[in-house]
Amino acid sequence: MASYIMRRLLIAIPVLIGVTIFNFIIINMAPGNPVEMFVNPDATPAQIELEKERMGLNDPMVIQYFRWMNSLLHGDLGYSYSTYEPVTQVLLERMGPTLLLMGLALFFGLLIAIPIGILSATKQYSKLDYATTGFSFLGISIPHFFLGLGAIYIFSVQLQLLPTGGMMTLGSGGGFVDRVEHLILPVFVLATGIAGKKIRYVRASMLDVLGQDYLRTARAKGLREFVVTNKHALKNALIPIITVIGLEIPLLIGGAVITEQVFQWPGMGLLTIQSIMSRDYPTLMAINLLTAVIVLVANFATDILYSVADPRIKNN
Amino acid sequence: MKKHLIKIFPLIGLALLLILSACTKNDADSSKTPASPNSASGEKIVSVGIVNPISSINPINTADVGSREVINLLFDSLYDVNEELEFIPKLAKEFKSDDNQTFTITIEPEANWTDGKPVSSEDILFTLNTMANPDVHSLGLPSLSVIEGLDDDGRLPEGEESITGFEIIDEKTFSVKTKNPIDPNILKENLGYLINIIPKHVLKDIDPDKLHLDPFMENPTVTSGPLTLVKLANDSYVEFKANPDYYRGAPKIDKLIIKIMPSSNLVAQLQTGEIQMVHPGVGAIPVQDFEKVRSIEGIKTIQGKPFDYQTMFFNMNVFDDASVRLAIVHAINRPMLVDTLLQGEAEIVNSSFTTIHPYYNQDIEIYEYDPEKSKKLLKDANWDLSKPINLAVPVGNQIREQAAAIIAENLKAVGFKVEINKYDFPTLMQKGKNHDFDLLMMGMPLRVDPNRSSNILHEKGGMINYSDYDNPKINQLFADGKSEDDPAKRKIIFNELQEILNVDLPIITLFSAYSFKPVSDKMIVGEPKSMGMFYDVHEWDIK
Repeated sequence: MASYIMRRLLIAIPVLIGVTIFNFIIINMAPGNPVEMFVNPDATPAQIELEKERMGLNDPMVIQYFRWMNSLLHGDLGYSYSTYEPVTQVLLERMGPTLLLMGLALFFGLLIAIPIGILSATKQYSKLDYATTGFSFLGISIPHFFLGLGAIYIFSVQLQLLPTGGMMTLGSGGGFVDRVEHLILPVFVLATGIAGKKIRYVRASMLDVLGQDYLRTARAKGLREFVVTNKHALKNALIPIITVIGLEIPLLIGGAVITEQVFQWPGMGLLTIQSIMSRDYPTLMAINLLTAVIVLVANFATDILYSVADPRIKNN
Repeated sequence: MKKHLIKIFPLIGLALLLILSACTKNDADSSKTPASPNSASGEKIVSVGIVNPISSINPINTADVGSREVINLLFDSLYDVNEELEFIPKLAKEFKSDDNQTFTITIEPEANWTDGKPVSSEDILFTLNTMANPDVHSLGLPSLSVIEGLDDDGRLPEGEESITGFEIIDEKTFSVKTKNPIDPNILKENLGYLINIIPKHVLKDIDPDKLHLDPFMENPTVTSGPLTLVKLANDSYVEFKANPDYYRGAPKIDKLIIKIMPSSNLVAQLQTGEIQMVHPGVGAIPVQDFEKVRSIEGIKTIQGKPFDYQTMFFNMNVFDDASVRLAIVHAINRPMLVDTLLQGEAEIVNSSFTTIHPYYNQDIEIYEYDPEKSKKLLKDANWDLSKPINLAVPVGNQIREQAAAIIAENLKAVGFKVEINKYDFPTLMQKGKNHDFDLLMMGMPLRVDPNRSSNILHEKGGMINYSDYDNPKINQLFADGKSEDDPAKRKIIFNELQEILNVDLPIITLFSAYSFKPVSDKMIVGEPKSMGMFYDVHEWDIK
């Protein structure tokens, strides 16, 4: 096991370096540049050149890349071109809200999807099954911005029950209740999407397992149906589901771009969009690097979890 | 079958319970929290909605309108500008000159920094010297190159540490000498309105090269404005609280919050009472929502004036024949854009000044919508219509994107082949700078000084001279306009300039939308304004 982990970590290094090179090229190839985005329209071309020179934007891309890599190795992600704050600080500020939002969304999404998916599979072709299938397609196909705006219209504007956005009522300091209220709509929108997708997976995966011989054996042994379904069957059905959940983990950090915008959630998704619009290279590089790390870690964790769910899978 | 259901029930039940428990927690007080602008503590809080995120709030190096509003609330300038395009005093108590070359300015005697130190002449000189210092990350003072001691780029010449034309008379009085006599409004705008004064005693020991990275620049602890900063969350909100020692009077409200949101949410938040007004400059409500907003109970709307305008640039290297440019102008159905697309909430513009600008030339020839004339002009010019035209449009402003589609149809009607290409803003700017387009649409803000209003568009080397227009006569008129100190004579210069531009047509001005200003009935004092909105924020009050 130890050597397996070691090997995986060693492979991760060249992958990460490759990701940063690739990102650096793409980001720098995008038309426009950060100086022009914050420049005063009265500035003369000479001054813009001077500012670009000072920021090192006129150097060859290779040199710029190594300069970035060098400070990264010294633990410095640089400072944001649009707000002049250290990128590390910017990211840390955004990570909390995004983790909270996406974590809850994933949690509730699964909380809905797993039981409903199981139920749907055990009652295949029943009215309940059709209803859940219908719901899950709805959840998958409704765009988040539409569901979000719809939810705002109904719950905030018409019923005046919940706030339209933000993380707390500004100026009030935001108590626990206040924060929960602000979470409900965005979590609802995201969880609907997640649940929609996951119900399909859970159902399909359960159906595969339910037809297998060992379950008949279990029933023949006289085990109660509840135990058969939720212990014997579910355990095997979970393996593909774990993979799919693993794929969602990077979203926990990356955030949900559209939903965060609709609900003005101050998370990573919003930051990403803003950084692209202002050509904030250092922030973009940091976001990409972080996302790459999370993807690698999530894949790794998924592989480990396999062996927990199914001891037959050996990691070698 | 029934058995299964019973067995699986607890699981679903548990799930539902958890979901519900999250919901019920707030049912108890949901009725009061979201809808009320004032928190339980009874504080007076006013929230203003805007769309554009705030970038840096570094007072000596920023360009975008939203960020400038934040800076204006924290660091007072000498003047503000109102919707009549007049200069209204903030820090400036007196502004006088006998010869339009040496200007003596007195600062409000009561004006202090939040740490109790007076805002002094030293601070103003320090601000200018810092901005003009080539080592500081700032774009200098290009529009103040008229001051003695600054070079043409508005920087201190090598070896100089202070602006020679600036003289400190006493703690609250200073004088500024310009190279030539100038229209005092140039100084009032570029020194008075556009420069926010920073505290010398706080910043003087910071390495100029590192100044932009100093935490003070994004979280200023010593300020001079009516409000102080509580929290800046660049793309979601900015929270301010009252500065009780403000020299023009202690604010009546306790807190001001500027909230950033997509424009679709502005209407919803006006309706729920989460915001009391929008900022018309950076929080424009889409025209299709005007009716909806007018019908919201508890919201009144104030009819605004045209403060910015939409233009279309010709690439002069492609459309090198003035009669072809004129043909395109005649082909565009501007009355329809205004009446249908903008529901009459706009005016057609014929120059880079809108009708409210004092320098607008009333006698300029207005080109009618006349597709037949357009076809004839194209025929006479032998223009090759088979080559497709690339119309570049920035994404983000829905009305502008729809206008582009209508314009493309108008041009097709006279025989052009048109391709619309949409770009994000940085890309569009790059295309514009490289003259890599045929036609390009963009919005422009209105400015007080006529030089600033249009030289960046039309002067050779101007930042936004995307047309690649170069007419020596125009360049000369701009130079004359800058050095002439008599407003009446300047008016003649700029009238002539507008006439030439109207013949040369490097750009077409399309329309200018009236700003739309909704405000909650809860506001006793305070309303949205296109310019100088926060000038009297210390007098704002809310029920």
